[in-house]
Amino acid sequence: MSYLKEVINGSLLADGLMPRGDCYFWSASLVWLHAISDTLIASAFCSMLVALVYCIGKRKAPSFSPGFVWLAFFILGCGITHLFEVWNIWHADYWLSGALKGLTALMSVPASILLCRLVAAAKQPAASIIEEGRGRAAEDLHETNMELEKRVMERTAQLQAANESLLRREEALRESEGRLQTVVDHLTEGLVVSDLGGQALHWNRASLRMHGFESEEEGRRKLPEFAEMFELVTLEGVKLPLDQWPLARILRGESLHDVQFRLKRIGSGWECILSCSGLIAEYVSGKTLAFVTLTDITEHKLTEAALKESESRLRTTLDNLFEGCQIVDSQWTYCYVNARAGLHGHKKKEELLGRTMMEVYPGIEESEMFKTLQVCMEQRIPCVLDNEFAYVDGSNAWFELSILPVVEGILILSYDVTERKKSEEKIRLLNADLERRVSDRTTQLEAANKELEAFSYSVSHDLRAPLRAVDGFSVAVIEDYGELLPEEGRRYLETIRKGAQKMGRLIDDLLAFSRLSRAPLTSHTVDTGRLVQSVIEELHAERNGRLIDFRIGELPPCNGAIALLKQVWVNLLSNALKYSQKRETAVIEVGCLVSTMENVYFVRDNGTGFDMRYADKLFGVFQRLHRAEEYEGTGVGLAIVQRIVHRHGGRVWAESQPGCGATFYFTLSSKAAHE
Amino acid sequence: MSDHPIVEILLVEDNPEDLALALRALRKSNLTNRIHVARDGEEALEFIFCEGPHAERNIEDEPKLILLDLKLPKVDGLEVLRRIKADPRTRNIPTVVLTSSKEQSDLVESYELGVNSYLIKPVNFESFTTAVQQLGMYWLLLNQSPDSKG
Repeated sequence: MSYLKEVINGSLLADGLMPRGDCYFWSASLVWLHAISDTLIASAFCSMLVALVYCIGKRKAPSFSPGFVWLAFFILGCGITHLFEVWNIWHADYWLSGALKGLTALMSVPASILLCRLVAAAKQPAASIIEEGRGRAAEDLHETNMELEKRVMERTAQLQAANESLLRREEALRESEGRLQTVVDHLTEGLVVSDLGGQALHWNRASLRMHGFESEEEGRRKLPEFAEMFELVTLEGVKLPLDQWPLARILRGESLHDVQFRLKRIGSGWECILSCSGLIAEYVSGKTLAFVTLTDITEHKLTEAALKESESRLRTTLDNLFEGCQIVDSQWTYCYVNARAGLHGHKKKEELLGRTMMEVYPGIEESEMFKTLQVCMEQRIPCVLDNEFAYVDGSNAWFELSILPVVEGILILSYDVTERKKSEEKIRLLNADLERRVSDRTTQLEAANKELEAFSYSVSHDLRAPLRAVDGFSVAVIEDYGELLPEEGRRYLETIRKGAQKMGRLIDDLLAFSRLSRAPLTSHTVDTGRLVQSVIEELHAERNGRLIDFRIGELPPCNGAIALLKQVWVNLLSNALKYSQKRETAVIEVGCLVSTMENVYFVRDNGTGFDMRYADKLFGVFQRLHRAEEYEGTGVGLAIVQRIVHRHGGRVWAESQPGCGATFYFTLSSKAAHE
Repeated sequence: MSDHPIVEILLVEDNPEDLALALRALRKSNLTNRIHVARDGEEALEFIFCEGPHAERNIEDEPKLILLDLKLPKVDGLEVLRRIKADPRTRNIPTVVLTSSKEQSDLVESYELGVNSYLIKPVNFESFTTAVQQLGMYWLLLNQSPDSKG
């Protein structure tokens, strides 16, 4: 403590005044009592000041006024004066302390006035006000705390949500980008993205394929580098300079749409036809890139070319068709006409195209042909008809029309058949003429036949009557006057009779022969074996008691008129009997050689036979190979045989050697007999 | 009742030679007693139907046999035959066609008209005589007709 006193003495005593401690005699307890008390009071005043300022600031009391400043300064002054009390224990700054006390005293006046006003204004007793203020403060504090906590929680939740949303958006963005990439990669259109300097940045798969690239890296080049690899040619075949390449044009700011060109890879045959569109577009916040889309139209162009070629071929074919070809739409307007169709109508193509049928041929809708066209047009069924076309100049032509439904309407093919029609007409006329001539001829023949009938009737009646008279009166002379006649005279009369009788037989045979051609031929199956047997029996009288060796073989049936065939057998067998009469034992053989279509019947005898040199005379009328004294006959029998066989469609012939007999053959159809 | 003798045979024949021969053949067969000869179809019909010169004749006194040639002047034999066979009074008179015609059509038509026999005159006189004799014998002596009177 003494040390303290000395220090203070030495350093703090300035103007000879004594510090207050001296008044306390530096009694430690008294010093410290004052020091601590004043310090505490000073602290209390300072606390009060702070509390006052906080309250005023916090509550924002409407009653706040400059008076409170004076109050604050007053409280501050109080505190400072107490602090100087403590200071002056060891220092003797009483002037300063007194000045501060005076200042505080000055400030106390407005403070006191303020407090008096406050007290006057306050209706409540001071205690309740304090209490209320304390309660409200506590409440406020609690509320504030709650609100704070709530806001902190809300903010936390907001932050969390924002965080999650950000995460989600990032994920969605990634997904979307992936999806977009997949879509772009799988587009059939090619997509190339380039920066504005012509550096290709991105290629999708289609665009790589269209350039023949294996990977995107191959395509990451600048525009001029492409010119070393590719050349671009227009569809017309003009090579494009680099500055006319689509990318170059896009980079210059052009917007391209469907620019078609041929992309050729230099040094290889590889090429394709592409359609290109593109533009420069903003891509993110102000960044711009060139976007190029490509479509491979090679197939399309090839198909188009093929189609064009095929269409051109068809058109050429139609144009040069030998048939006239016209296409008429559903309004009957000519859509297509080939040259030949124009020729057929005696019109130029230009006169027809674009005009209706009714305009070109007024009144056509009344024609039969037009009705057929209508059927085809409405019912969509193909029709065919022959149509006669009358020209204005009076001539006409025939056309065969084939009408087919087509997309536009109907297609009419016309084929000029005028010549054919003329030929047909000519043939028809010729036929008619021929028929007329046949008819005339038939009439003539019928007349001739009638004449022949009348002739044979006359022969039958009138030629025989004189013969009967010759014969009959010869007999009368012989009977009545025979005794008067010499022997020779009677013999002559007998000769006259023979001649007359022979002539009678000739006439009979001739009539029989001529009747053959007139008799109608009615065919039946004939049992030849039985027929031959009955004929042999009938001819019994002609044997004249001779011994005949008949050898009859198998005789198949045939087809024919039985009465006529019987005549054949009678004639052949009686001939055989006649010409074998000089044989001691006549052998007559009858048989048949069967072939597929016909039967060859034969009659063979061992008689006189004949010389084959005269075989052609055998079957002639009145032709004989033997003298009448040797063998009787008129020479008509074999002629009758031949005529009958011929009328049956068969043949007849004979084989012989003089003295060795003869064989007569004839054929008859076996067809009906076999059926 | 009538002066007309009953005629046994009516011979219709225009050809004089044939007529002479026919009569000769009939005579040889003793059939000439009551023969009436008509020289054409008209005469034959007048006789048969008692017309014209024969109007006096009784139609019931019909001949026992008519020998009829086909080819006759005026009315031909087939027409005569048709008339005879169409009339009930004369239908039953045996009528024999005696002709030169071998025509099938004549034969067929004659039979269709109802001829009783059809005989073709042969050239050979002996054959002719035989045929006429047999004919007379048969129709006049052997054959019984429905109205024969005993």
